[in-house]
Amino acid sequence: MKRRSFLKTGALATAPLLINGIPVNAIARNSFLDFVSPDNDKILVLIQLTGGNDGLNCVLPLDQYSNLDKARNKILIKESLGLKLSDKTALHPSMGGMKSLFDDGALSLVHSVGYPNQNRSHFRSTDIWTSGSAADQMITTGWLGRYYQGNHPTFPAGYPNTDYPDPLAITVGGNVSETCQGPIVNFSLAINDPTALTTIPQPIYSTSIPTTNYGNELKYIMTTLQQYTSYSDIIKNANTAAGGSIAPTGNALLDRLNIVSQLIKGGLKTKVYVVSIGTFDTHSNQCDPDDHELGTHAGLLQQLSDAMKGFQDSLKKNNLDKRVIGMTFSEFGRRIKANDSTGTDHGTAAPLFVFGSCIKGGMIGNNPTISDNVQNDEGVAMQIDFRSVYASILIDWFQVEPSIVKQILFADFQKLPLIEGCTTTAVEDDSKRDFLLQLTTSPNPADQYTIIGFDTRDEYVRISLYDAIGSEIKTVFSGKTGEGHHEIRMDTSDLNSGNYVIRIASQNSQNVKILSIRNH
Amino acid sequence: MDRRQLLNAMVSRGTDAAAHNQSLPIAGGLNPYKGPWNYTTAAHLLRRAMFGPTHEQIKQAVTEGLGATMVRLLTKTADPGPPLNYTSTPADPYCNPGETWVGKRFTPSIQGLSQVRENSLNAWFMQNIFNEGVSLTEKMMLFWHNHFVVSDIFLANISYDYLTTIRKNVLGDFKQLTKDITIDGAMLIYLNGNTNNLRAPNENYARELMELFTLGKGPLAGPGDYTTYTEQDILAIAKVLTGWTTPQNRQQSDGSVLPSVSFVTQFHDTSTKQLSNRFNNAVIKNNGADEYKDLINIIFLKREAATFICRKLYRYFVYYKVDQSIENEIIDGLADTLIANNFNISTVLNQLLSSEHFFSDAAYGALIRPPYDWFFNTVKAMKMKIPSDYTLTYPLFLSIYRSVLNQNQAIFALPSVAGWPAYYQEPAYHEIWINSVTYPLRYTLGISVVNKRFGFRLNGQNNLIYGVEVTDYAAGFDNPGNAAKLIDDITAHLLPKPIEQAQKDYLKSKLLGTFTEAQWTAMWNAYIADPSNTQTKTAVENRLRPMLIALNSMPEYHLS
Repeated sequence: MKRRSFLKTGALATAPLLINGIPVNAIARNSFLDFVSPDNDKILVLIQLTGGNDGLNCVLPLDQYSNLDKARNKILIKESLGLKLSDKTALHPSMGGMKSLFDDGALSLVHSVGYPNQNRSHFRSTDIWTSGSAADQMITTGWLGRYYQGNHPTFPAGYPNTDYPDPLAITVGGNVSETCQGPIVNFSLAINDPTALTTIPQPIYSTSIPTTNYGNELKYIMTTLQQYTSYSDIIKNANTAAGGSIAPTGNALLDRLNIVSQLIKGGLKTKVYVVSIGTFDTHSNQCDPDDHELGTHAGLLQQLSDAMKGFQDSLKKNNLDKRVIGMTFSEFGRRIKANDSTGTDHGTAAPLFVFGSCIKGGMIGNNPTISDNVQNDEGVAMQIDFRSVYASILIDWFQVEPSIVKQILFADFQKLPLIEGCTTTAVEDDSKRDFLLQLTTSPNPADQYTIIGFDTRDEYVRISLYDAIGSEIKTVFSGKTGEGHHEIRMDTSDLNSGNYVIRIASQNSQNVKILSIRNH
Repeated sequence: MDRRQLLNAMVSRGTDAAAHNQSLPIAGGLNPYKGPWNYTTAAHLLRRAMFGPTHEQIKQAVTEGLGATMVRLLTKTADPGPPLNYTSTPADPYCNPGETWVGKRFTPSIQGLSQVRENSLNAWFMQNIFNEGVSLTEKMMLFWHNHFVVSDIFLANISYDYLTTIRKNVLGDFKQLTKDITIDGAMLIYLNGNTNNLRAPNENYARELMELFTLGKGPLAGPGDYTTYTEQDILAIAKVLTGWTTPQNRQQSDGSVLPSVSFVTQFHDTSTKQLSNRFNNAVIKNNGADEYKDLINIIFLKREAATFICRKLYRYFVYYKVDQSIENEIIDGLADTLIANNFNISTVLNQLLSSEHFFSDAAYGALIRPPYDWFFNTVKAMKMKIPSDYTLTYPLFLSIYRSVLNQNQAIFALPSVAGWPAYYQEPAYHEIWINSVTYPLRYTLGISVVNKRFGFRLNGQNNLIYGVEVTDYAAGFDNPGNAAKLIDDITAHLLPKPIEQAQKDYLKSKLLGTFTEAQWTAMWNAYIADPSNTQTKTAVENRLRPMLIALNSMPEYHLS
């Protein structure tokens, strides 16, 4: 079955959507018009794990355990204590809540998510994740900010209004989220405690604001105050309608998610909520040196896991679970090898979680491969591009046209089978996704050359070679292949000895293999 | 295609989009300012160079002139006395109340002691700001803290030593400061330099030294090559810095510690370190405990060591947006000055803060006040009275520290090694300080200070309350009995740009309430005739306070 084209064009034609009295189609012909299907009531909750989550401590690849033990025995959790999701994959023992979500089919584990040319700076990498751009692209708008920009080009002028009476996005905490940054304003409203919103009397504003830097900053502050004033009653009322505040739980993340669930229950039409938890930057004392299942990282994972479960339970109790999905993200994973401070340094890819009753539970991608001679600076090789996750959510959850998603994310990305059921519109036929790209490389270790073998259908594929820290060294092949088995000889004589990663990707699938090069 | 072009191509933007995010016009660039010198110009300079200058300090600057004021600003203030232990609960076995804990052993096993010393240090930092005088010293202390970030050290002695390291060169030699900070205890702890050793190099500090402290990260030019430095350099530099540790000097009898810094020769990697072509393939030979100096010398041969810090100073003191023209006309010139003066930071501060560009019309009021700036612009400029007894001073300054904490600016608790996002996060930069959480916090905190309801509890006693002396504040102006004149003077003092007449009238209506201007004059005269009469004083306070609260709620109040 093909993706059904949505009704939104028709809906717009019969009942023109007005922004400030102007029909939207007159505002911006060139913008991302109609991002959101008018009847789409779906909500996305982002949980940012700040600092770089150690994916190998969070999700244990049991089939790689002996090599992992060589690389990080000072911090590795006991094989037997992992909470098994399958024969080969287990969660950290403190993640019982997420294990039960997985068992209920409400958790999708996406393996080794990252991007080519991994940047190991917290700041740059966070910018890449929040902007949804490539490593060499300098984009200062957020991926959700661009998603909002099309429907709300004049925001915040004229908001709230009858069509959009509620905040477009909410960050629970003291800061707005970079994910919602638009070219001019941030689309998210920061709130801390919906029960303690002070009333600020409106001062006399300046009536002629100059178009100077001073004028612009003044206008920004005025707008913040006006937006706060207009939205604070709305938030207060929604929270009250949902039964007021929920007592602190001792889990700061759950407390924030409880605010989110209250506001959803209270009827806010806000589509995006952002919360964060950190810091996952565990350079030292990541775990208890005597008991690796305990310590800083274990505590954070437990907090995350308990909060996710608690949030999902409360949505279910209120019958809201079919409207909400959540997604975690972190700027990078950590090194495979432990350092000398019972910690791990900045690495490359890491697992990402998507949860909710409308999620196709299970795992996407494979366990990472850990070689028996891990280099000091080696990270987990990227299998799945993070923008594939974003694209899948925008298309299958928010029902944004793929052509517009391409504009938002600057390129086409492989769509992942993350969402299942719940949507009013049919989703794309998943059958072609079942095809797994086979990938082999031999000889491995390579001396002077290796033969890369791969099986494809009649499709475009790209094969790239990455070094151990995730930099793309070269494109081995990029083009259309016929159906069947193919082989390419890759010369390795010009490469330094060490570990590399070969990645193959098509529109619907991907695979990675670690290649050792030992030139003599 | 850069971001601007891209977005222009993709979305139709609002009318104010063009003006948004523009850099300041160059005006006269770095040429020395020769224009008029008056209350407006002097106030602009002192607001940016200090935290909340008083009316009197501005008047003095007007009298003395720009040159003499710059000399004052660039003169380092006398080192403040060390922080004191302000409480006997819990008892500190190595330090009585009223004595300093600096250099004294610390007993981790005593519950709450660590917190007391940290509280003392944080309060002391706030106190130093409050007592700053006309000098750039404290503004630059905060600048360096946000530059050479350390956070969550939880060892007050080590944190104090770090502030001492900074203070030594706070207006001095940036290169020397970088050397000193590289082997500073707090930095060794924060970025794991203290576990960086021959067998297991930890590259955390090496990376940030390049990316955030000296050169900045350039565009990706190839695998692991960030133009200004490469991944290879990080590994090599980590080796250069091996061997530095922070021994706790634990005393077995009571478990007390006195952390210090030492170099352990056998932990040091003695191999020859090879830097990349980004450093002209420089080689660093084993030089033991002095090797880090060789490294910093090599780094500071690169021009980026000057441009990077100048860009940051510009963002801190002038405006956040640095485009190509600012880069060419301002940053480049500052970098020349810095290099020509062996990285003496006061030379660029002098050049920047007395330039045509700094005093150009567009520069006034274009910065959003960071929380500390905003708060001290209230309590310091309006003359909060501080108790002299240290058992009260410390708790008061501690509560100042805590009251600003939730506005996302807190010393020794920065969100990351990059410092406060308002100084680096594109495109919002300083707008990050103000949002729907922090604006109401500023509003309510402002009210409590103006209404003298800013307080704390001490040892179960009643709430001790403090705030600004609004009558003392008003009395500092020429003719406070004239309502219109008082509003003119106060807005000129506390706001960066003139406001509209309707806004002034609004403030005046808050001052007068139901009274007439003549009645206000009479009230004020009655108060001045006998300032000790609480009845007349209260009458005047009850009029001044609503006006100052209204001023505090105006968006203009958050600009500098």
